[in-house]
Amino acid sequence: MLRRWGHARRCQRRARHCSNSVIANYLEACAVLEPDQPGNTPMIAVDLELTGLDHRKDRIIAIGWTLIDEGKIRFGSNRQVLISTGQSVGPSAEIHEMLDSELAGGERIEQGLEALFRAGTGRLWLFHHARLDLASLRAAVHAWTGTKPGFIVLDTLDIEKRQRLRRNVPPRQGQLQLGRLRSEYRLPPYPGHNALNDAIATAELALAMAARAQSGGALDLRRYRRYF
Amino acid sequence: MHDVSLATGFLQGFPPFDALSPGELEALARGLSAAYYARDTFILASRPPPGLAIIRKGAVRLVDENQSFLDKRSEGGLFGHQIHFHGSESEYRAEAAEDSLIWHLSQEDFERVLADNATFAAYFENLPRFRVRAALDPPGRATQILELIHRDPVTLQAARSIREAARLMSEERVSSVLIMRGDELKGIVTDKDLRDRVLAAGLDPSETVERVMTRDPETLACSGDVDQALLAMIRGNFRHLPVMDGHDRVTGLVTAGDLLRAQSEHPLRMVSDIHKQGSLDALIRLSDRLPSLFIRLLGMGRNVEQTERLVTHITDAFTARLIQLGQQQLGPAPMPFAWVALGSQAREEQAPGSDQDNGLILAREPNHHESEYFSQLADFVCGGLDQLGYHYCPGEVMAMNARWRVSLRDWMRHFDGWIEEGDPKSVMFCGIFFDMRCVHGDAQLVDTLLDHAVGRARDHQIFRRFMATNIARHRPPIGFFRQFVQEDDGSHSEGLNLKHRGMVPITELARIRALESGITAPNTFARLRLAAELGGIAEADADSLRDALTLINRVRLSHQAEQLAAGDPPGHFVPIESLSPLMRRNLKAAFLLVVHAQSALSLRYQVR
Amino acid sequence: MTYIVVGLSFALYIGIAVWSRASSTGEFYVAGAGVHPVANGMATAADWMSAASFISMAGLIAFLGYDASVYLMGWTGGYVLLALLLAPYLRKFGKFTVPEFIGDRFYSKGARLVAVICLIVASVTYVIGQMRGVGVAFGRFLEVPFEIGVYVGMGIVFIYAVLGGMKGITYTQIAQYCVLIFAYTVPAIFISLNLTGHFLPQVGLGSTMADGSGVALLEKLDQVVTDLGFAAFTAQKWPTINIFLLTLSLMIGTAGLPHVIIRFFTVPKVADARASAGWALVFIAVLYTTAPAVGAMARLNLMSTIQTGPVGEETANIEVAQVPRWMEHWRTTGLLDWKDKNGDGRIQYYDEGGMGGKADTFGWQGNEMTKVDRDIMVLANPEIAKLPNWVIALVAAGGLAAALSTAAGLLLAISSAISHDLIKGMIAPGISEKRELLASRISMAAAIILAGYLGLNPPGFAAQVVALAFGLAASSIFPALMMGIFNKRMNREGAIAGMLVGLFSTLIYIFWFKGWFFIPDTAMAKDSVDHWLMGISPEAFGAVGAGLNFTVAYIVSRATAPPPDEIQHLVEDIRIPRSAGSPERH
Repeated sequence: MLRRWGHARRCQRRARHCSNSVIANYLEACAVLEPDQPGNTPMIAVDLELTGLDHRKDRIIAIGWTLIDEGKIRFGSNRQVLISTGQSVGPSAEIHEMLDSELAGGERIEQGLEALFRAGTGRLWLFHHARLDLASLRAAVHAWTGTKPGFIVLDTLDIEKRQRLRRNVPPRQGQLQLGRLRSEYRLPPYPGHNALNDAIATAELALAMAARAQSGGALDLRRYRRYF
Repeated sequence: MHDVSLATGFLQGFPPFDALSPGELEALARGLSAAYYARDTFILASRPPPGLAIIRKGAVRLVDENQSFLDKRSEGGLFGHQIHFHGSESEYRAEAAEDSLIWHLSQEDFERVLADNATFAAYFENLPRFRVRAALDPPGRATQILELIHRDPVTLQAARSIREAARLMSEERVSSVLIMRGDELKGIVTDKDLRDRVLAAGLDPSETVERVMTRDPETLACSGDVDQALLAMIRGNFRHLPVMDGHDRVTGLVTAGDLLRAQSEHPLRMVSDIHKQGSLDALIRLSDRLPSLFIRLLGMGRNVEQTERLVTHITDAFTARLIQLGQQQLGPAPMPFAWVALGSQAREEQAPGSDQDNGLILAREPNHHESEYFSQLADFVCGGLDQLGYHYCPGEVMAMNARWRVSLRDWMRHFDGWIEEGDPKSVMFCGIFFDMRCVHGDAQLVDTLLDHAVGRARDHQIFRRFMATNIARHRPPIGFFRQFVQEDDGSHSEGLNLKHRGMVPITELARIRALESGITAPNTFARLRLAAELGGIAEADADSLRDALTLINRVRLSHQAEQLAAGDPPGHFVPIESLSPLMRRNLKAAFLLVVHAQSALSLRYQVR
Repeated sequence: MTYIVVGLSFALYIGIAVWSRASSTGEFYVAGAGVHPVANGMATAADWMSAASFISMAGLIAFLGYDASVYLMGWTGGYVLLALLLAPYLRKFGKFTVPEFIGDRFYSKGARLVAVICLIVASVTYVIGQMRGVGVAFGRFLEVPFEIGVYVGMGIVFIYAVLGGMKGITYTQIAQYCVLIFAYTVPAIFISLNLTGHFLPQVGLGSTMADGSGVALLEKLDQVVTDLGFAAFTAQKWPTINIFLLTLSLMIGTAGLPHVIIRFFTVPKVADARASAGWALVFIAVLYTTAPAVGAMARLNLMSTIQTGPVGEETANIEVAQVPRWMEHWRTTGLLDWKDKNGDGRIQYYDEGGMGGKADTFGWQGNEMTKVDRDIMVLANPEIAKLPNWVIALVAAGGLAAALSTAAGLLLAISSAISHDLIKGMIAPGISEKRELLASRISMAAAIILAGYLGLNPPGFAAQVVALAFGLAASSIFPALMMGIFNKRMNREGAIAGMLVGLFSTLIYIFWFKGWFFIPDTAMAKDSVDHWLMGISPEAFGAVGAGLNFTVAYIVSRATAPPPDEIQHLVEDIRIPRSAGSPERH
């Protein structure tokens, strides 16, 4: 309760001081957002591809997202923005199956962020393993506008971990990976290491979790949402 | 960049979406939304028209207003549109039979695609007409040859000139003419004959037609069906076959084009037909179509993965329908159960003509009566499958064997026993039973069992070592000096044993890698992909094995298609001589990849 | 002759391997027939017999006498300990490699790393002993100097190990056991018949001489050696504590040796595994009970070859010009040598210290057998006893087989530990299989070169080097295994600290007396009873190291957080006997 209130105040304050209209709008919407049921909460599932695991050093090279409205993923809203970093992607290119040349044709990070935050205004943000992506996003927006945005977040990895701990079966190494969890929820395997595919994969996983939970009472977002 | 390749990639494999252009398909995909439904939850009702729904994963049950069962559809299946059940259109409700991921296209978007693409629309329009015919015909009967004949045969007396024959063909707009003497069929002249034997040979067109005709052509009996015609054409490489009535008189002509039109139904149509049949006999009649269907599948040049998946889908459909029929006879089951496919059927890698491998998982320990019920059900289904051409498993790995028809707890005990005592028999059983997939019933039971068993195997290094020892013995047919090693296939000729020494090793490698990473998926490609994702195997190694499997499989299937066309039973032995030098080189490379993967495995488990 | 017999025996192994490999690709459903426990027991016994057991142990007994029986007791005890105490629990835990067990049980990559290091150190030390055995066998067999024998051996071992050997296939192992035991017992029987008239060497050892003197064999041996100033064969030369600790080290060290552990898990059925272990003990005992007789009789034969009559008589020593052929053969290997110091044309073999002034009165000017390597005793034994050539060849084949198979098993474990546990598991997880294989080959070659080098500059005789390996395993790995199984409170911090303390204390103690990294001349103290700490030899220090390991681990684990509940439950589950669910019973 207190956290929510504090978060809302912080968002409002930052919105007032933010010169960038997209981020200001986003923050204002974020302040009044109160997610409770998955079915009536608009969400945005996001995944980032980074050059590495350190948000202070590494850059975003791709952002993928898709929107969920009324419990349904809208394929028409799928977006993937490739970011041109202006420097070589280096060793991680292999993982992300993106060549430097492909990225050279990408957009500037500001354009990507603007599109993302426009799409994500008034939505609950959905990640699989939110921490790293959020830190990168926050750093990137700070570098762009001077404001650190707040987020209300649902993290499928976190949900699963907590559910398992509650059932007293602590997850073992690797069990919480996106692909593994999806197969447990009987979702089809998707080619990974692609921001958009991972975003859609996360969105579907979240819907699956919500649907499974419904047989034993709805997935209460109030329990799992996180404020950042 | 609005990327919907995930959706288009899936849809383009299935009719009617294969009729759409890439642009149309992408537009359709953009209109899709995805939702997830837990088992037994309501999805949609057919009225008001809800648009089109596509099952991306899982299965959906269609029921009428009284909750009685109409149909069940699985991955790739469609619903939401008007469906005719038993010949008449009726309203229905769709419920998730398993946890399902459903893609939905709004009615508005659906109608737009219907209006834009006639072939796509025809698929949906075609359905009612097809149903009507199905209702008139005895169920499952293949199209008869007589139904293919649209007109009286075009004939000419043998003494007439070539020019007259050509003129007649041109007037009648046909590509062949039957040459008669009196009422007796003497030969046949086709477009190709006029070209090859007259024009190219510089023959005078005023010569008699008798000189250029093909004498005593192969004929068909009018009592036969399409499949016989297809077989005859494939065997003799004919494009025109005269049809004779019971008194040896010509009644018509069937061309390859006629057959093509009659056969243009997608093989998946078979699946929906299966669900329409109301008795075992009807299913058996339907199964007569299997051989020609398989020939067609093999000959279609589809990719191997798809072909095997289609074959598996058909087996699944037969099994599921038999279970339903069995339950109609025996009454509803006394407890939840799951009928599982095992081995290649579970992996969705079934080859045409495979034996059956299956089992039955019961939710709890059955009492005497319940035990009796499932025994009868299993006998009915396994016996039915045998009659349908899926012969009894020589190792008795079938639900009709009481050992493989036990409660979930006993199944767990089975697995525990095998894992703790990995004798050759246990390892062999595990090779079959870790490849498990729910075909009908409560998928949750299968999930629980596999989670347990795979978890145990993942933690039990010693058991996996026994598996690795076994794998090391299925060596690719590559000798010490990297030469091919041919084997006697037991009857007459030598060849490369592509199944036992090519595909089996890869399947086994994928299985053990999957167990190391705790993956429960049975499909080899999926296992490799997931293992690579989870870091159990390097991405490059997973790709190598995948490519090797695809290549070996392709060689095997094309060889089998040739054998079938030649009228021989399909086998797994491919003589080296039948392969082109390039193909030999590729095949050798594929085998070497397998050898490498095996050596790495042997090193990991210190097996020699 | 030798070539033919050695060649034939190897052709037999290869033939069996090829035959069983070819027939195993048969029909799917035929599989299921198991191997009989007796056969499996033989195979296990063949695995167990290393060059140390086969070549070196009897030699040690010949020269150390009574004290060397600790090797017998230690190794037999170790086998029993492993079979009864550890193997059943490891099986329940489902792990057959020590790093895998330690890594999982102590939920830590660090613990796994330490275990890998301990394993590699112990295994490489063990390989040194095998390389020595191979060198001795090849040296004699090819009649070349010992060094060349080792070089040849290194090459052969590498090829044998890389090609995957013929091991692992039970029938090959059975054939190997038959050759081994035949090669060992046949000469022993002949010699026993010669000396005592008894057919069984074990009985012969305890009976009287057949020369009609009515003197017991051991008594006669004692008399012969003491006359020449050597310590009596049956005398105890080491402090009792050393004997006790050496036995203990050898026993508990067995558990840490990877190629032995793995053999317990090649039998799928638990009941069969138990029966096989029992049979293996019987088959091992056949060799082990023969060893003392072989040692004693070989010594007696050797002594009486050189000292043909009563000590002191002028004609009682063998003439240099008339030394038997076998002595000439062994002289080429450099493992046996003599020099006529007093120029009397005869050879005197005696202990200078023990004889004292008496030697001068005979006109002897020092021991003239300048080199008698103990590792040659078993191989030379049939020649000394003037047995036919084919028996000699058989023994050479047996020695080679024992050394090669053990070395190959160890090298596989070493290369697997390096390429899988170390490189793929920790350094480069994304490494492709091709590179993993390459890494394994390189580490195999490196281990062979290292072991070969140390085999040429040996810190002891084969059996003693092997004893060092046992000591290292005993001090580092055994305690971690025991505590992992029997103490659910043991945590990762304790295990790591314990293993490190055990390993390094033992290593340092060994290096102190044997030279740093076994480099001669770097030893800090002379390797003899007087300098040893409390009379404990480096070979025996493993047990002390294990004690330190236990203590440190216990203290550290109490001072740090307990392991996660999951692990504690697991440990409890494993110890409580659970009915091995046998679905066959329906």
